[in-house]
Amino acid sequence: MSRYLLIDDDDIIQFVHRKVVERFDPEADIHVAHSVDDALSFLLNRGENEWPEVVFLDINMPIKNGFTFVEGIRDDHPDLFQKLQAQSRVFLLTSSVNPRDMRQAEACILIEKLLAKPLKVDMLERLLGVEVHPHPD
Amino acid sequence: MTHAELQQAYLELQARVTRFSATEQALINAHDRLDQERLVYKLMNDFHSAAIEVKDVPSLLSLISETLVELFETEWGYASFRCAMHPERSASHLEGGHRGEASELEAALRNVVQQSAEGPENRILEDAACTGVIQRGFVARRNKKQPESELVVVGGVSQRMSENYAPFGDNTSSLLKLFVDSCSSYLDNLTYAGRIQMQLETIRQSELEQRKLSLIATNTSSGAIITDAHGRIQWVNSAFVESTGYTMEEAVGQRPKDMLQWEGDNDPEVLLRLSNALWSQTGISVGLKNRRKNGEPFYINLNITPVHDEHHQLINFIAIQQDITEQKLAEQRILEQNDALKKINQELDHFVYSISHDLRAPLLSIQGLLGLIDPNGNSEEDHQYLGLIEESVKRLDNTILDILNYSRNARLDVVHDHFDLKQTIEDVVQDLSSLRPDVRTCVDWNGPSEVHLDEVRVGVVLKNILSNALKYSKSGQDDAAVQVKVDNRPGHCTITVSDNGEGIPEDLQPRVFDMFFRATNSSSGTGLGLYICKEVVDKLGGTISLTSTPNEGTEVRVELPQIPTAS
Repeated sequence: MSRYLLIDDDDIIQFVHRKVVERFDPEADIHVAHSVDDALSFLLNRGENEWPEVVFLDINMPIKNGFTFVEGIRDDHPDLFQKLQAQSRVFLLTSSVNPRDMRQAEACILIEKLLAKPLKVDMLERLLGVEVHPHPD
Repeated sequence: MTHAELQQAYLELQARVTRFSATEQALINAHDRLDQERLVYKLMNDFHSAAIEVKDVPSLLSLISETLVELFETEWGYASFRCAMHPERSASHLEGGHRGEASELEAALRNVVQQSAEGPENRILEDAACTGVIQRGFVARRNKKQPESELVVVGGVSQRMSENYAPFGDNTSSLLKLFVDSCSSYLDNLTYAGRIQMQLETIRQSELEQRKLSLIATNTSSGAIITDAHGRIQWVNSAFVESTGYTMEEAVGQRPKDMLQWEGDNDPEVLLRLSNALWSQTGISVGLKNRRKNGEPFYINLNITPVHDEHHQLINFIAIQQDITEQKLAEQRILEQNDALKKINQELDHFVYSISHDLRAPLLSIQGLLGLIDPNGNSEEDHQYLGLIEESVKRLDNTILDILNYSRNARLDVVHDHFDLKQTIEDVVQDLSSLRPDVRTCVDWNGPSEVHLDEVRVGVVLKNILSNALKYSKSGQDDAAVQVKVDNRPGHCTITVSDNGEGIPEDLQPRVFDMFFRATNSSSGTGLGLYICKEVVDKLGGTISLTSTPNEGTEVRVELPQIPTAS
């Protein structure tokens, strides 16, 4: 079982993504955050064995977008940043691939890849196929 | 006849003979006199006709001295005659080398002699090889002590005495007087005429120049100001009046600065430069913002030139001001418009991104939901409907993406970068593989895999032409294949994408790059793909061409110039 954190303000796509992840990994432990602040408080309250291994972060969200989320953690919560870097794989999600976003994503060490919405099962298989399988323990 | 009578008769005869010979002598003398006068008259005549042609003073003086020499040779009797008339005085005077005032003419000559004994013209006469004849010859200059008596006299005295003198009559006297007078007036004429002519010429020249200058100054479209050495206006031209609104009367006596410049209108540094140039009396050229009488601002190019007199004393400044308001305002307008355009462009860019995001988000949700539907849980009809929905959504999504690409290409600057084109092509092929899993794609490569091009734009072009090639490959055929050929050379890169699909009818080929043109009804395309490719390739300075044979296939060839770089 792996732990997933999905951060997106759009309920429908959130629903789709949750379903896709469930199809890919039926035992997934999925937490859905509807805003950057939601996600932050979720992460702040994680226990030692509750840390999400995979984070899907939407770029275009009202008030605070995906990049400001990453920057906020880097500047205000260096411990969380380190933990994310060490223990999680963070993917950015976007509905329109913008060259500017692409460059910004590449420049950010925390972000593994920029993905085009919607998530699909075969996409997850390509990305996570080998590593994400029911934990040995 | 008695002796006495004879004696008487003889005496009478002798007296008669004596009388007769006296008469004869008188007649001879009178005849000589007449000859002399005729000669003098002829000399005078010759002199006049020659003198009238003479154009310069030295030639006139030598003519006068030549005439004098001849005159004295002819009229040496002049002095003798005087001697005869006034024996004592004339003789003594002659011996002493001086003469008394026997007549008005003599008085005049003496006056002249005293005044100009040392004059340069004296030498001229001596130089004229007449020293043997003339003891003293003088050409008098104007009497410096009495400027009002502008008498110029030429005169001379013959020293040589002769027994054969003839009486010197009134005629000769007036002829000589006339000669002296005319010499003086000829000299006068020449010297004055020369001087006057020169002055006239100078005046004429400067008048001409002034007229030209004032024509220029008056008619030029540039404002012209002439100030005194203290910078106060003495004169302005009509262009100045027209452009500033100040009349000549209002302007004269003012300083241009006080009239035309408002505080804060100009850069203090420029004003400092201007006043320094005026202080140091050097020329300067500056751009200024001035104000008309009504306060309206106008912009000028000001050119100031100091004018010095022959003693290097500053007398004027001449300022030419060229009105450049139109240019300046046009420049400003362009800058403003440029800024406005930049802002609009940025807003548009932002708008397009937001719109594309907001429009696409629900489409992507629909696509995701469609992907979640269980293929086994529905009837065949439902499946068909779902397939149609998916197709429509994809088409709408493609249209939005195309519009986005089009607008990006139109507005964003070309960014050349080094990147791995081979990798880009492989990524695109991978991305499109789901479109036609049955079609093989092979890449034929020539040259290094790295290129120096606009990565985003090249990606757009590749995606479009590759998806076309895949889409129009014949379905249900094992040998369906798409071939990509890249020839990467320094300076340019050629990409050819060919398929062995259905091809495009020849009559439609010229229109494939048109906006919203679709060559087939069966396609789900937007009609924008190749149009965008053409736009992008144009922007990159390259060419795109298409050759196609129906039922055999289509080949699209893209040639892009590469800017060689040091790196």
